[in-house]
Amino acid sequence: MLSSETMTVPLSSSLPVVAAAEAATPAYDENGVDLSLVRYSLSLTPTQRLKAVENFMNAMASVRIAPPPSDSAK
Amino acid sequence: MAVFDLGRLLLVLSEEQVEFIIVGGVAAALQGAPVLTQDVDILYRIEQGNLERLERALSRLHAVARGDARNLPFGKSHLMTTGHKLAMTDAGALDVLGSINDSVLYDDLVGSSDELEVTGQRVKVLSLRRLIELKRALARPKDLAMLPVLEATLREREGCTSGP
Repeated sequence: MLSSETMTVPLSSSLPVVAAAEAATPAYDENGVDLSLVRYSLSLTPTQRLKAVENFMNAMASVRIAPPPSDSAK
Repeated sequence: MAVFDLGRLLLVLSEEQVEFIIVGGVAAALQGAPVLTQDVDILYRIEQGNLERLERALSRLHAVARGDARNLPFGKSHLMTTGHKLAMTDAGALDVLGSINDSVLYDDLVGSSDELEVTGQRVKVLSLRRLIELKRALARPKDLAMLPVLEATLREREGCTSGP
C-alpha cells in the first residue's frame, strides 16, 4: 500500500527529471526511426536476431496458408 | 506447412564449405538493424570448386526455382552466371546471387564483411557500412527506404562500445 507521503508528491517536481531523461535518450531520430527498437535489436546476439527474422518468416508463411474466415466468423 | 529453419540453412552451407557472404536484409538484421525480411540473400564466389560445393548444398536443401511450377533444381551451368537465382529450399527462401547489380562480386565484398557466430556457425556477413554504401549506389526505392534505419543503427553502434 502506498504511503500518504508518496501519494502527495507534487507531479511537477518529477517532470524535469523525466524530460531530462528523454532528452538524453531520444526515442526517435530526425528521420523518425524508432531508436528504442534499434537499441533493442543491438542488445541481441546475432543468433537471436536471426531467430527474430525466422519467426517473422514463419508467421508470414502461416498467414499465407491460413484458410479464409468462414461466414459465421465474420 | 513449411517451417523455415535458417540455422539449418547456414549449417548446410557451412558443412559444404561454400564460400559466401550474407547480404541484403538478413545481413542488416544480423548487424543489429531492426528490419525483417522474407528471404536470405547470399553472394557466392564464382569458382569451379565453390560452384560444386554450392550445388551440393542446394541439393541437400532441396532448392528449386522459386515461383516455377516445374520445381527445377539449380545446376552448375546456371550457378556459373552472375545473375540472381531465386530459390525455395526446405529451410526457407534463399536468393543465391552471383553478383550484386551485375558488377559487384564476392571478391569485391569479402574484405568488407564481418565474421559472426550465428547458430553455432562462423559466417561472413556484409558490414553495415558497406551495406549502406551499396544501397545508396543502387538507389532503388526499396533500398533508399531502408537507409534511415541502417544509418540510425550504424550511428547507435558507433556510440556503443560493444561489437556486432
